[in-house]
Amino acid sequence: MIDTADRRERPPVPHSLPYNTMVYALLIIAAIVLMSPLLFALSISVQGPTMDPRFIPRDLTTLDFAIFARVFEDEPIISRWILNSFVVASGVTLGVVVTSALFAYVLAYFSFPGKALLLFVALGSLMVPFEATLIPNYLLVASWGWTNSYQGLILPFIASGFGIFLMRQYFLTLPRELYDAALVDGCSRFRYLWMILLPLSRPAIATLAVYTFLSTWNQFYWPLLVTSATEWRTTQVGITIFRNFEGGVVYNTQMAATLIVMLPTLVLLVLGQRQLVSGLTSGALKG
Amino acid sequence: MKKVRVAVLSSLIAVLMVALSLVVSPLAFAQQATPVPAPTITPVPPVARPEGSTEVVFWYGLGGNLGNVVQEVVNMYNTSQSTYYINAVFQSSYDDTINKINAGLASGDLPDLAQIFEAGSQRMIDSGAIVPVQTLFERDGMMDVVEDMEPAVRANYEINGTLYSAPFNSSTAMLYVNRAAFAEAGLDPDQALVTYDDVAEYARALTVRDAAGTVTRYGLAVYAEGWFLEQIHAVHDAPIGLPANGREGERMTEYAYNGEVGVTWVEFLKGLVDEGVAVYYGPASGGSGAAASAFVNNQAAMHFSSIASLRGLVSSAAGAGAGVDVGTLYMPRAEGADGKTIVGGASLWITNVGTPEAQEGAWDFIKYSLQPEVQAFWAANTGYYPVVQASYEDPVMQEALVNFPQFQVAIDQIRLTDITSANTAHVSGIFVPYRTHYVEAFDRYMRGEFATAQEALDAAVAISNEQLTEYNLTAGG
Repeated sequence: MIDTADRRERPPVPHSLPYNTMVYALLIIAAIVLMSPLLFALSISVQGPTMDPRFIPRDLTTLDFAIFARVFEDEPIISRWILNSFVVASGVTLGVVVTSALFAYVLAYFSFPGKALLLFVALGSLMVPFEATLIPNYLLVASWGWTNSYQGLILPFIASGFGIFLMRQYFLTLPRELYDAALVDGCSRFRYLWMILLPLSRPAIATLAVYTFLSTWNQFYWPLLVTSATEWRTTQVGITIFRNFEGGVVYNTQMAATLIVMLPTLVLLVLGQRQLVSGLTSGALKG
Repeated sequence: MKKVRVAVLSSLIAVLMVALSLVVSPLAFAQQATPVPAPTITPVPPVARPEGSTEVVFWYGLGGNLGNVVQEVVNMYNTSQSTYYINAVFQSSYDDTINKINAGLASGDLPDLAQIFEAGSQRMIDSGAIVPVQTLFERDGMMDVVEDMEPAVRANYEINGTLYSAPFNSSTAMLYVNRAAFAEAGLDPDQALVTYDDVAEYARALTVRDAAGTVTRYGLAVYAEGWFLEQIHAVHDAPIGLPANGREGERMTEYAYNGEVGVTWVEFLKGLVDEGVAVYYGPASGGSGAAASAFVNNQAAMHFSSIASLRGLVSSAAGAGAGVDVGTLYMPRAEGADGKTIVGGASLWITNVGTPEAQEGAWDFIKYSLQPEVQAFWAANTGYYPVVQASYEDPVMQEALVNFPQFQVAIDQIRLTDITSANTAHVSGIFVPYRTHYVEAFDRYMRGEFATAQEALDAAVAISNEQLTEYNLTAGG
């Protein structure tokens, strides 16, 4: 991939010590502010079963770090829930990237009657709220006997109007001459997509993949509806079992479980961040 | 230039890591020295299913510590016999349980047994997919168990003379008070029946201000909650819905909580907040958490909550170390009103979609759950009422009553007066939406968006009735 950002001449920037100190102080403050929900969750987790958690624990000598182990003891099946979420989120992500890339390729590079209509159909699917299709989708999936299965959790989400539109817009920013030159050199259309277009579109693919993965990971209502066995739950549905209500709202186990199921997505974000940020910048510069 | 930045950044990270480890490591060591007490019931994984047993799928909506006790009762049943196996599946919440059942009516994906809150009674009856448990009690000649049920609890699930579901977990609302603060202020924390005037007087006496005039402890913590509105109507023997709370042969056709009882209650709370002796914490879930927190920290001397939260409040108060001594009083009322409160909670419903064997299994589990010692175990470990009165003779329950004398006040409260349809939970197909409308109107009134309580409640009742009419039309009432 061509990194346009590094090629540009940068104007010299003064880096005096007070300047740096100020920049880092601001960055640290911003980081703390951004991290505070996570820190608060951590703090609540270790304060024991109290209805009255504080941001800074009242008694720093009795912090209960064993709570994280207890979550696994309480619900050993939580590892299965995490696995389910991983399979489902990865499956949906893969499906969305493949279908979006193929559909967008057709929309961006081919001319045929009715193309505009196809694009509008894809965009139109964005206008239909999820709630409107929930019950019909559920009845269809249930009639195929796909409740409590990975296909029931994955299939309804493997095509996305948003993904198609995003990929199409990105494909259109790439020079058309590349396509013409490749075809003149005897490259097949599929090979052009696979060998040239997709590698050039890594930023868009990464953006779409991370977005899809996170939103699938965070799904609640669909997994609740199509799974009715404990071992088929995804994390977001599963961890509601730690929620207390109707008598003594204590948050510690709930917060500990929440942190545990958040960890995989945080790791993904940290690992994918470079790709994501560089992707967004180069996309922006080319546009 | 890039390298310099990287170096600065990495040294910064190193400094942060060192700082973090300095903070974290002593804490990590410290916690090993003083372990935190575990909750009463630690979760038990489900026991294995015996060969040849009939599986009974049981959906329940009670999470957290209370959910652990549900699983424990199921395990006790599963190990007590080997003909049936209860497969308990948690369904996220009461609300989600009934929503899943509604969706499942079309697809056939239904449990054999479900724990449903009283707000779902009408919808369950309208589903046409249930077996009223009364027919099974009669078939097996077990009406003596029904006769022994706590009258208020039985009445809650007996609609138009038929017991549709078996009560499982039942609670009621209380006014929690800080007995220590009462003693300081020279008030009597043992006079359980209190009027609005009493509570207003208490709130004034219990409010503490520092030298600068800032309130350090309010008399009363207030939050928006529909259940309390229902309780207040019950203690005044006024139906919240017409006719007769939907309990006397006819379906409920309109809400009536914008009458004198409702308006007086909302005005009473707003008046105390305006006077500066009560503090408003906002709508339900968040508000109730904040109010409970203020109560256990001695920042509010009185607090409304379910009797099921007694244990949580007592242990949190002990943990907070602010010297709060938790006591309970009846829900306050206008002068002269002496009614009982209503029962909240959930009951067990048998569906008619499973095999006859699975239905028998579901029924067998209900019979087990109603045994006095099982109810005593359940009540002693949760804070709900035992639903059969024989449980009060069980040593486990007796010990719980000794340890938590506040619980007796709750028992007395639901036995205060005879049962009428007005002091029993109303039956409506839009129970949950109505509460949402009320909470929203209450919240807007508290924030000054409505000029009068009457105006706020009129608005909420109008939307509620619109939805109720629509529900009744579609449900074929």
